[in-house]
Amino acid sequence: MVFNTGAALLDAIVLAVVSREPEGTYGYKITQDVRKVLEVSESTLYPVLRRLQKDGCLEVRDVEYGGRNRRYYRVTPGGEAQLRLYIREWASYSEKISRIFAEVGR
Amino acid sequence: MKKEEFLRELAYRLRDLSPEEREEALAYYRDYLEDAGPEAEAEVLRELGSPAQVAAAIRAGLRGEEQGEFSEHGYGDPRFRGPAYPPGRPGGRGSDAYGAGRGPGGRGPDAYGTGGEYRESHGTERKMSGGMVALLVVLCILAAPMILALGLGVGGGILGLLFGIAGTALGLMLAAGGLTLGLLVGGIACLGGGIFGWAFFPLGGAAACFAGVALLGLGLLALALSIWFYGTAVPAVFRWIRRGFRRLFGRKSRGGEAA
Repeated sequence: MVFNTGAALLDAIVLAVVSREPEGTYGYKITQDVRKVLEVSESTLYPVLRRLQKDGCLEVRDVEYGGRNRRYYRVTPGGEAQLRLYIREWASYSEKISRIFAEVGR
Repeated sequence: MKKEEFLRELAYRLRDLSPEEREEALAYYRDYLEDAGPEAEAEVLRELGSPAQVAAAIRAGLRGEEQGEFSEHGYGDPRFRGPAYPPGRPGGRGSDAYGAGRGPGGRGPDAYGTGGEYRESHGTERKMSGGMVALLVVLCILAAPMILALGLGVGGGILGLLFGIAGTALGLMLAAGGLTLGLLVGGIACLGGGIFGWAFFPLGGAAACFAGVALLGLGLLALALSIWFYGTAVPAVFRWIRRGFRRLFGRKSRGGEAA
């Protein structure tokens, strides 16, 4: 990865990853899923998840798992709307850049 | 570094956050390490980096200034690299970052190499708040009889002088802040008492007035010095100490890694 991008894209990817699980998903799994597409460090996602939670894009609940409580994250309706916005923005942004690149190929 | 050690040091480094934020972060990382499982634990701890790095990222997130970016090495925050944030050590090698040479589970009173420093900084905090309490108590003691003395008028000059001297002595003991306050309060008391006393003992009253003016002058000088002392010198010393700690800590950790 040679491109430097701001944190908004990471917000979008995290929201997308969490929204794939209607029942919610947990920190370790979110990190592993994001790492399949992006080389994020293990400590990157906590501040992002916490902020998205405070902004009302994510909601948390503790579910008992293996004798302890595991915190599950789920996208809120507000988070869904935010994710739709990100996806639209990304589509138009990447489409414009791809078009420029495609002209070079010809 | 083991999981519990990591969480303990992370808790220490987040001790000044609100309890809610601290618990939230600690619960997340405890969850995270539990979910990684015992096999992946060492790998995850190495990847997470030092508790200092993790704590710095949590703080930056809370201040709303994540400045992370994607680069060819993935997503990260360039501010949290460098000597102030030493990278994590590979776990499961028997030697951890802070207790090099001690066996696993060796949790003596000094299991952390940096334990002494931690305790020292705790001690300073306690001493400071103790000093503040003492100052407040002394001020209350000084203020109550002084009001009485001024109200009575007669003998106020002598009392004021005595309290001025007492104030000055106590102020000296309590360093700059106490000194300044003692001088100012004592000076005012002398002057006030002297003016009252003048009518009854002209010589003593005049002397008290003179002493009061002199004390006030000294007090103002001390006030100017205190403003500089507390406003510029003390923060500078604290900054210097903090930098020193950081440098010391970074060097120590690297030493642990090399060992």
